[in-house]
Amino acid sequence: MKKLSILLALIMSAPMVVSAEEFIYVMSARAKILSSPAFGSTTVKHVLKGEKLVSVDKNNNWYKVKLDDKTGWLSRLSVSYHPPMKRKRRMASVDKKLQNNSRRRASSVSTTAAIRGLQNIDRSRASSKEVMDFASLEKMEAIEVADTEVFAFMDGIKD
Amino acid sequence: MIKTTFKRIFLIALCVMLPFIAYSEDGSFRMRAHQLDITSDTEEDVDAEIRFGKTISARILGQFPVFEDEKLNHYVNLVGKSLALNSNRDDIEFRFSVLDAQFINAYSAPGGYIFITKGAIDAMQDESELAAVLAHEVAHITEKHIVKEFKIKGTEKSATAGVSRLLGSSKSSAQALFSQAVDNAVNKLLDKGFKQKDELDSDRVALLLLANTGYDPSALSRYLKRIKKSTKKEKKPKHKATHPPTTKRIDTLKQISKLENLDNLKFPKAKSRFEQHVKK
Repeated sequence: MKKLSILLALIMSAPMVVSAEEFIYVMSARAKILSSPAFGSTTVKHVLKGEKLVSVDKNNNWYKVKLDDKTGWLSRLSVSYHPPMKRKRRMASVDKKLQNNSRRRASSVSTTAAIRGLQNIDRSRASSKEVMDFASLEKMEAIEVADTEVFAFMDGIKD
Repeated sequence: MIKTTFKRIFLIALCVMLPFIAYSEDGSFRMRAHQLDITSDTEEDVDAEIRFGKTISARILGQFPVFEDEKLNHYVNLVGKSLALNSNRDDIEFRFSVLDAQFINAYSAPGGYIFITKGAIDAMQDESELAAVLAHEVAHITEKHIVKEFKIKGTEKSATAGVSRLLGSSKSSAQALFSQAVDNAVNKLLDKGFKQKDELDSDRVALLLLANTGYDPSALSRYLKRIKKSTKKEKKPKHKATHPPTTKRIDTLKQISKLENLDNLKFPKAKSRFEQHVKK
């Protein structure tokens, strides 16, 4: 019975032992490794997206990671157990498909309105919520801001 | 004998589970449950999310025109992208646009599309407040609230999943399904609003994101308190009814700030840079 109890305790505590040290990946473009698990503590090092780190401990929203000769803490906001994907840029072919679909959709709204016997004014009201503005969306997507410009902007956050 | 064996097993199990149970006492159990995603998205899932978000965004822009001020839109993009680069979602391009509307609100669509009204910006006093509102919207996207609710997947065969399949299909039934999902999502964003738990979850992530980026985390509750005062006497238009009661949000923010040790942080508000870029 004693043996069974020990075996059971070992099996149940196994996941905790295994999870003590694990690999995590940096997900954000640039992340700060801090000296303690608290925002505002000293920055030990900056790491970049995709870097694979060994996590040796956890503290709520913080992961303790091994560095060459020391350790530091990373916010859970910046990491994942899976390697990050490449950033998706504009998908021009998708834009065309979406716009074609929206045209078909607008036409089906008009047909439905006609079947229901709606007058022109009622038709426009019925379809006002269906209006899609792809031209403005394209303009929004055309605003290009390079990461380097954003990093420089970030460094200028001050009172 | 059997009774004793069960007793022992129960005691061992209790000892093993104790740290987990104790962890939930401070209210952080929910955070622990999704601290890190245990599932990973595929390329198709992210494509589907972007396509769905693009269609929703075109509908939002069909309702409200863009505020035509190139410099202001560029500045809002710099603030928003600073937060996005500090988030855990670098797989999508975050984009920000100012809407020409005087009421106070902001919207986010899957795939990284974020909108803020000029009215919301006019009620702000510094850059950290702008960052706070954008951080809340970024959090809806990083936590995938819409994606999870509408089960947006690239390949699965469920009602609204398989967006690629629906989009590529020439069948009107498939297109109708896709359009229906978009209708429901737009209705949710513009009228009904997110679930209260999703809103509060976004507030929590927003505070962490602000601190991670280097902005004053108390900016969100400061802004909420101000707009609560200024909108008290106004009759709420439909577009404003998309968040939980402000008092509840402010109370929850206070608790989160204490729990995350953010109370005494002296992070910048960046007031002068805000005043240089935003003309009221």
